[in-house]
Amino acid sequence: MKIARKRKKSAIQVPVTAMGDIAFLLIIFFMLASQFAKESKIKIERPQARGLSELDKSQVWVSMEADGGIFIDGEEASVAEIKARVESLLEGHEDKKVLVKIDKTATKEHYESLMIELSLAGATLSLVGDEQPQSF
Amino acid sequence: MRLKKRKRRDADIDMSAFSDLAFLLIIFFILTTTLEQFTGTSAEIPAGVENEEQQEKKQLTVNVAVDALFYGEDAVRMTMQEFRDALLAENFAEKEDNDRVVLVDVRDDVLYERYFQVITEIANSGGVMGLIKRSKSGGGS
Repeated sequence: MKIARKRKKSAIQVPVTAMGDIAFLLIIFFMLASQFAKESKIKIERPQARGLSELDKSQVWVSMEADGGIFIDGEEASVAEIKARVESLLEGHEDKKVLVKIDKTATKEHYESLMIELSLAGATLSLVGDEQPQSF
Repeated sequence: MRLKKRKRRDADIDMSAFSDLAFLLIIFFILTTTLEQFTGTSAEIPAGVENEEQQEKKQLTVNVAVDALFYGEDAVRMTMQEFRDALLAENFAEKEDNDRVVLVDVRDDVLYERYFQVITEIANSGGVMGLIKRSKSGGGS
């Protein structure tokens, strides 16, 4: 008696059209959700120091180029505007951290006035720099 | 004359390679993305720096020049390493807030990098930096 019949082999096709859709949806999602560098056009050489730590995230970014040009969140600003603009950006936030990127060759007249204005705005400064190599 | 009707074929576009392409793009972007993590120094500058009364009290001051630092009441000339040791000797962690302030007085020709190093040393020792704001230039401490 023959029991085992040969099963017919049927070509199994997995529909993969939807997979492309999913992949593209993911691409679009990540593109929209990612934050592009706000400050790619601003050129800053970071200062070096010893004993730096990792900085937390900040609400506001303030940058200063070597020639004293100031940018708040990527938009150009003058010294007189700093206090008011930073205050309004920090308003409603408990965390008053401001990320401050200043070029290492900025002169005193520029960086000191920036620091004073930021401290008057009630900001806690997170000064960005790179760790200095140990051969000192 | 009878023209032959062409048979219509089902136009099936093979889409399986399409998803491969899309996933390759995703993997490429994930690998090439670098999330920037900044290093640096956190500095809280006490507000209301323009306080006349504080000048009566002897406050620790560091005078920053391009080639040297002058620290303390006697404005002792120091290198960065000596300054670091002097700050550690102050033992700021056990002091009250007001006594932890080190005023930073910078000379006009000092660039930001040196200033940043001084601030970092103060912050690492547990001190709080204070700014000196002069109405007009001139007049040392």
